Amino acid sequence: MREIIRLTAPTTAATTGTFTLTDPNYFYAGATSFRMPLGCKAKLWSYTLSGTAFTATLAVSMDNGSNYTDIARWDLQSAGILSETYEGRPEVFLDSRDGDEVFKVTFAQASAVATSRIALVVEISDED
Amino acid sequence: MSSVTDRYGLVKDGGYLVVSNPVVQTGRDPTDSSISIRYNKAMVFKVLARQNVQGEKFVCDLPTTTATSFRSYDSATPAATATGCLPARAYTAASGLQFDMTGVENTADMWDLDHTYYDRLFHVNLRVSPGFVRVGVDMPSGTSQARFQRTKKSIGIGSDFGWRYGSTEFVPFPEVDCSYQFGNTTNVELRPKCAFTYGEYVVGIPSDPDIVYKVLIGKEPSHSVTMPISIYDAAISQGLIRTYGTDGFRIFPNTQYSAAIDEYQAVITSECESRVLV
Repeated sequence: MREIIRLTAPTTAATTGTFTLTDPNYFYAGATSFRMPLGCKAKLWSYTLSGTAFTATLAVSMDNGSNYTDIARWDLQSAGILSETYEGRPEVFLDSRDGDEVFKVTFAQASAVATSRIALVVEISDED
Repeated sequence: MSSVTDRYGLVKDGGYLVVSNPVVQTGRDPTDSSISIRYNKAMVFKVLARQNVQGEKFVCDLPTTTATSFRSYDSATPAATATGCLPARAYTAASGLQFDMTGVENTADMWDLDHTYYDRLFHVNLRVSPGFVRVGVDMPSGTSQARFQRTKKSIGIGSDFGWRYGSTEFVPFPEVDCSYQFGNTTNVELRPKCAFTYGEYVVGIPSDPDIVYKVLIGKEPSHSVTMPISIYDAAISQGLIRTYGTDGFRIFPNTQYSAAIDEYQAVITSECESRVLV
């Protein structure tokens, strides 16, 4: 099983916060974290930061969100777009073994304005 | 794609479809009636034609409403926020779900037929998106049959192990009602899409025991689907007998041709309804 989900969210009018990620195809509503289906891997195919300057941090948890570890940070330094695609070799960033694995994305920005957005293309797969 | 299936995984006209019963039964050894042996049975069908050529797809939402009952992977009592939703950390109630449709034989279950449809057989591939939704079929309806170590432990959709993600292939027999289980272990309420690729076959049971034998030992190419059961519920055998007159052919080793032919001939002549033979 391989499923590509496109997670997207705007920043809010705050200097820091957690993105409420949503996938318009499959999610009824957004969530501030995504709990992995048991036994699946999350692979990052691409990320896109757009709007005004902000920093996004991808963090993972192995205990259903009690503790997080930052694993990636992307910095949009000025207004525009920052994007990278891992064409053909997506990066496994979370591998579920007991179903308590969670990831989230936080943001930080100098001004408390809701003018930016993040988009992640993530593959959820139970295959190698 | 095998030689008997097309690009949709459906059996081509003139091909054979075997539906295996994985539950091992015990009976007399046909070559020595003093010995009791264990064996499997299978239904063997010849697909004369497929009615829905050039129309294999059916796509719909998950058949849930805000009133649908769910069980929880945690301790909550989950409910769907809207029609078609699968709540976070939830899986369907023991009774499962069925796909309702107006204008069909059983409007509560589009795949359900009665024994008068003995000449028809659905072959269904269900793919659910997102693919990390757990999927299962209960045959008969509402009876979870997933077990570990014989019947020691119940497993399946609501358990830590023994489930399947995203897709399933099944053959719903006339008179054997099925229900469908779906599970969502994520923390997000999902809006799954159910995509069916199905064949409505015009079928019959081969009247030639030699053909049945060749199909079951693999000399004649066929497509095989296994019933999603671990316990042979009486409702299944009764439904098969009501529709076809028999609940299948014993699977013989390929060294027992004569015994197999004798038994298959007996099944065909004394069990099978003549209307189902081709």
